[in-house]
Amino acid sequence: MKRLIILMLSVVLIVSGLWFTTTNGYKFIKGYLLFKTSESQQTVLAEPIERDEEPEAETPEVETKETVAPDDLYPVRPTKGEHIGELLIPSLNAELPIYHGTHEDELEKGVGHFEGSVLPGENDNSVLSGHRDTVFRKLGEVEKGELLVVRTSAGEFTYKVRRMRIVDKEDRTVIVPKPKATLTISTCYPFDFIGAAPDRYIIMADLVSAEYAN
Amino acid sequence: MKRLLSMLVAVALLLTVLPVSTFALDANDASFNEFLKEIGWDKQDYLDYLESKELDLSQYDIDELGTPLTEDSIQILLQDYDLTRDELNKLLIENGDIEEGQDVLDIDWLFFTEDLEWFVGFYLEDDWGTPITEENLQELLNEYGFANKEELESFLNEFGDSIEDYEYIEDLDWIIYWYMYGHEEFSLDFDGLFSEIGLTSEELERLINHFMSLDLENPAFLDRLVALNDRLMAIPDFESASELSAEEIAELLSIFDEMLDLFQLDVKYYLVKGDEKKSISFGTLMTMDSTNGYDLLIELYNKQGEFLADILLTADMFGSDLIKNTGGDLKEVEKAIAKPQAKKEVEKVATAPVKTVKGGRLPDTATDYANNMLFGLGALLAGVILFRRRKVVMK
Repeated sequence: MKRLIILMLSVVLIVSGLWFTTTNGYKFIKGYLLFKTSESQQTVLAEPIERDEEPEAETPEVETKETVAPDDLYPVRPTKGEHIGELLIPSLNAELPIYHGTHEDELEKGVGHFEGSVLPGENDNSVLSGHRDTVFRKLGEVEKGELLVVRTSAGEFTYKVRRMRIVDKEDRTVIVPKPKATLTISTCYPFDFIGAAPDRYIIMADLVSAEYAN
Repeated sequence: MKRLLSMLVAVALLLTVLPVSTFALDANDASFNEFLKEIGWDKQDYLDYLESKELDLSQYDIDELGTPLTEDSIQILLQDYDLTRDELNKLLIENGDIEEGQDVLDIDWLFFTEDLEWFVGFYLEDDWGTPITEENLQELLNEYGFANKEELESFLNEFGDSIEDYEYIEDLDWIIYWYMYGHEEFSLDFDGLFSEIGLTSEELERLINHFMSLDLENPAFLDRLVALNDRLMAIPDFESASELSAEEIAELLSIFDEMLDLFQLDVKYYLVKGDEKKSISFGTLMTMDSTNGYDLLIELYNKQGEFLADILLTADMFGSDLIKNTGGDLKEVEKAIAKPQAKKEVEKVATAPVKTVKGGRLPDTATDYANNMLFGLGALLAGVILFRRRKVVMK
């Protein structure tokens, strides 16, 4: 009986240990590859994106700053888990898929769009989140004044990084309405913390230009 | 030639990696001079101001600039909106524009008098929601089938959230809806070995944590196990409980209780069919013939009464080793416990809100795969060590 119990216990430990290791390892590698492959793809893609930006720079149009988005940017609102677009971080050469929702289901696939916030490009505050150990592992390198691009069914939206914040994970001043189209990106902080990180790293960016799909 | 080519490629790569700040506003730009004239600022003062905020002019476009925030411009704003300095700071803290303890002049990012006026006007507008009142909260409770405010609060607490964090009933409504129905697919997604018997990853983690917290290496622990083993051996082999005497059954139950005690576990059994959920004791369970089409739900708790996990063995898993051809009847089953758990399904279209929730909880990005992997490896190692010890004991 004792043998049996110990045997059972060790089997439970081994099986669950294996299960834990492999499933998490799988998710980790999947997320990591997402970031890595996007990185290599982006090196090729980065050039055309830059070219897109240039004409605007030469003829700065007035529509850039107080861009008022049309009301019906998204005639059909996305459903949970839907792939809604891409987040491009040119300085990191990253192109990451965005999914609607911020549960583990979405976060293991890429960047999650917080469902309680407006969609990218819309006026008000659009919130994106991702894991710091996979898709956002280099987010700390993004600096003030850099551009972030979000591509969705509604068009391509360029945001400029305005500020960075480090807040407690229970902070309630990040997901708040904003008068202008804002992009908020959150991930865990410190980046190399072992265990459940106590803080959140926040990047806030303002919409500076928009190319509407229709 | 090859070297030249690779160098060219390297240079090309380098160029594409450079930041895309192509706006590059120059301090001698005509448009910049004109802008300064418009807002009545001296060029050097303006540049000094930007520098004090660690802002680089070359990164911004002319129409991103505005009138710097100064003591004077803030005084004007306070008068316009009839606010005190404290009220203004509080408003900005609440909306995440400055941190706790900071003053409006501490803002060190691209934010000008024009922006401040715009933002403050927006925050004060206050038409983005209906404040939570006793009545509309009660309506909401009814809609979702919560008995009272406390029940809703404990529901939100499960997700690390609280009623206190929300100002508007619409936001609260939306967040409840999301927690209730947005989570469904979660945890059903993996096809692991354990999902079949209803063990989720969270439950498994709790169980493992629980076993890890036991002092398995303690000699006293092993002694107790050996003692239990000996007592168990003393009971003759049996196919069903009917072959045993009353004393032997009592002995068996006592061994079982002590084993649970040793592993610091409490176990509750339920027979489940549809909405029916009957509590049943281990003793009754042992004397049962079959579950008569009921599923057996086993709930595991630690000795502090904290829920660890539940295992659901469905009716068709039976007929086998767990409950063998014994006498007894379902009629002996203990009284059913009433469980009015039916929260009303609310018909609601899962549309995204047209505005952002105020004070929403930050998504949990802390789940750390690498750490979990280490944890899994730890459990694996512990299992292997335990297994080896067992072999040694056997020899």
